[in-house]
Amino acid sequence: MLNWFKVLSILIKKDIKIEFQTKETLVTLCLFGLLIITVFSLSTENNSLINQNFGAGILWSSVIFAGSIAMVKFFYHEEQNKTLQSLLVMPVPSELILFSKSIVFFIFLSISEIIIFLISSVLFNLNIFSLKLILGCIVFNIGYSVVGSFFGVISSKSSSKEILLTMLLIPIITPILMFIIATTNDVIRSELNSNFQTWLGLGISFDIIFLTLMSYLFGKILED
Amino acid sequence: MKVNAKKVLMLTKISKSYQNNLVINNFSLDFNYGDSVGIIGKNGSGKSTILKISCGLLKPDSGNVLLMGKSFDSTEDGLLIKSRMGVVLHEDMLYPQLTVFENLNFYSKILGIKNVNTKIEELSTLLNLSDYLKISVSKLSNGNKKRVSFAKSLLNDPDILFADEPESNLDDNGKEIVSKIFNDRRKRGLTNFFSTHSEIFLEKCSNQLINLKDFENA
Repeated sequence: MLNWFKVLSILIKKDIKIEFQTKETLVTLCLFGLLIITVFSLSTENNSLINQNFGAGILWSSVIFAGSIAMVKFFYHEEQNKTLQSLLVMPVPSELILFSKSIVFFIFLSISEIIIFLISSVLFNLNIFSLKLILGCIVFNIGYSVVGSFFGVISSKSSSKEILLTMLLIPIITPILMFIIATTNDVIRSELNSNFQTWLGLGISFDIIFLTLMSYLFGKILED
Repeated sequence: MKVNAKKVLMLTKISKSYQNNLVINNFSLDFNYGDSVGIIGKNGSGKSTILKISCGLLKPDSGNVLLMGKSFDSTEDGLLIKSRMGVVLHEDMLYPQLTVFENLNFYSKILGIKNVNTKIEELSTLLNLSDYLKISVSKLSNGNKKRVSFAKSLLNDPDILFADEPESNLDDNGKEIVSKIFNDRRKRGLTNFFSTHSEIFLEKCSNQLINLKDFENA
């Protein structure tokens, strides 16, 4: 049997290849994200006070909603074509299916965030690029991708998958959502005396706990 | 991987219900290496459920499943069993966005097969798929998808092949090829376990028959 890293890389390459052909997930992420920030930018009329106070909320609501929609699409094909079943009769540990999905979604989410943030910085006249935010985004994206992939697989069987995924996902990611919004606010307002380290600790703890919990539960749920 | 077990598959007192509908009740079955076992029964009698339980896709509500002397309950054993079995279900279980070759290549790599190209070439010749290798699965007919699904399940030359209605969607030539594959496998001491509605296919490909009607009142 193959080692885990090799199987993981085969699974990741397959998902990236499919995305290159369909371009569905990445396009959905960018399109919906940009649509939301464009609508907000029209309503705020480039008021710097509004942008500073609500910029982080606008940015992350666009990422979260675009992410939820893209995630449904990302898993729908697996369910529709029963390819997940196919992997379950192959010598592939179920955790690797979750990890591969999470890693691929992490990559797509990160690419879309770069695009959304670039456009946002122009539309809202914000200077948001900093090492602090990059670190925050990495921690947030890991947690969001792992929890999202877990619930993405579960909700893909449901007829109302879009609603179910959002209902399950958003309450659970609230801690890392609070972390990333606080970090973005710090960066936008250039606050020096912030609680970044405390928030970062919370974000990393969330990622470790949910990565462990979700990989344990994923196999059990697939079995049933 | 012939482990120390005469029986390739042992199902002991299996029960399975969907919500409140009891589909399989206290069902037991075992057979030896090299057997080709066909399972028949009317629609909804539980043929697919038995196959899915046998290959580890479904967990029974009660009872034991031993495949090649090992249980799916242990992760390590489960992976070992899966590396030596092949599964063809109603659904083709292929990635429609990828070509036939890309699908077979992906599954070959997952199964750790060496000489992937030779293996794919060999199977595509056997199943008359050579002309379709560069075509996306989404553009194939249902019959050809079934052939690709068969090719996928044979990549590792499995010790046991599970097939749910293997002849469905196939034309006469396809049915002939599949029955030849089943018989060749049996001659080589490999096991087939399949469900079917076709008595002709059953007669051609099985040396043991299980009629679920016999278990209805058991």
